[in-house]
Amino acid sequence: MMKKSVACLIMTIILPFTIQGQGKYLTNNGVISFYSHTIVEDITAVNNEVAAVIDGSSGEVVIILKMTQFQFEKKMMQEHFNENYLESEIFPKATFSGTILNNDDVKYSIPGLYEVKVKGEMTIHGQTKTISEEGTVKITSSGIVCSTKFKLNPEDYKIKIPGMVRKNISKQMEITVELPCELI
Amino acid sequence: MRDNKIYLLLFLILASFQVSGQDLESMLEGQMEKTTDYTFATFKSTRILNGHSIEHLEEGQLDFRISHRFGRINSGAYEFFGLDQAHIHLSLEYGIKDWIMVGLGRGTFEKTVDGFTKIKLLRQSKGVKSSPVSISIMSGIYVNGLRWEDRERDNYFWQRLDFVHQIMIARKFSPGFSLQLTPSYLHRNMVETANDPNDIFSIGAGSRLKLTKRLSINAEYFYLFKPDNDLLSTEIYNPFSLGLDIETGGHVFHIILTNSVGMRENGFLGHTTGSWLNGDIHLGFNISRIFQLKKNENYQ
Repeated sequence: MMKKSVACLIMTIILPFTIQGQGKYLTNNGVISFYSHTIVEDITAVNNEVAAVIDGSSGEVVIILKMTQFQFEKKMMQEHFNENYLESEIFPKATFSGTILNNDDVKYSIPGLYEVKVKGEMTIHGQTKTISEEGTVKITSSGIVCSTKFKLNPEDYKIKIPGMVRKNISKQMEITVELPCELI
Repeated sequence: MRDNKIYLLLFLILASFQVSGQDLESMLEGQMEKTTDYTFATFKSTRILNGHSIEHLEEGQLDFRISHRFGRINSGAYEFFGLDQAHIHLSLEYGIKDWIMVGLGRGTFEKTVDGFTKIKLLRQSKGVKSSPVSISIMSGIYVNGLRWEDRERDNYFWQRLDFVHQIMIARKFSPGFSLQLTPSYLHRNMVETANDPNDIFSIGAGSRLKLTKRLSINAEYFYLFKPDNDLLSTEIYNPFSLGLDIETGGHVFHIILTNSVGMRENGFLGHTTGSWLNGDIHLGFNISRIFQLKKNENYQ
């Protein structure tokens, strides 16, 4: 009887910590960049202030960024991006909210590189679309790094590109995501 | 057994603190609030139409500006409704830092060479640092390049100089509407007669109303605190300009109707001899082409 109680007590104390081992991972300086290639012009922009949280136990992923924090080589392009294309004053943020479908395959306590499939809802320019992409989760001693690369068509998010610059802006933006997260 | 139940309950309570999910998004929202969002594109160009807007060139941007004003529309068919005459102003302007820009120009009006410095003091923003308005100051010097009318007289270089100081206070009320107030002070070292004031204070108001993403209507008015026209050697009026602002990538075009031929501050604040009520209206254009000489520092 006594032994059982002690065992129960130990479990009570230890179990929450073991769950913590698969707890939440957070970053405030994730990097998301996009690259648009056309014959006329290559355009890239980087956002180094992406906030993201990954819940290791449920596989839930939430990513939020501010459109105005995308940095362009040419500042004028940056203003056009916010003012004319993304309408950042009306739609200041882009978000992704989804889950790692094969979260059980990821051993958060064992360092290594895991292939993952992520599905969820992406909102850009006030438009929400369900997307499903593949990526990797790299487990290190200090945290995890989530990475992915995928293609996106701005017109899917009702981002209007006038005919005049149609040849300068690709219909297939290459999006690169790297989120180095720390356990919290 | 009873003990076990208690421990199980305890376990459940503790475990519940680990429950994840629903508040991940609000967790991040909290993180995002710790930043400051600065207002951008209060106006599309460094000029509203004739006068300065709150906008600055960013560090490393070079702006080549060409401005034109035709003659008065009411000058009749003989003058092809003003198009036979043209006044021009050319300038090169540069953003030394994001907060300071300078410019050098030359205009037909009084063959003037002009230079200015514009400095940002405050930026409209939301978030950790918050301000309802943007404030900049501009100081300009204008050198009249005309030959001396009276060569017998003692003529000095300082007599050619005019100075203008302006404070620009602007607010972008919504993505489609911006308003700016521009208290201004014009000092002229020499005027035509003793009746003409050396100093003219004025208050300007300028606005931008967006029609589409790349097209807006801009208007600009200066109220001059000056003696009655009867007392002046030349009648001068309050300058009012109305125009379209068209942005096409690297260029900004202005198509303007104005009662002022002067395209720089000493011209339109001190020499607007046309009156809208008399139909003394000039058609004009501003063209701005920006070249990026230095890359954005925040971009790697």
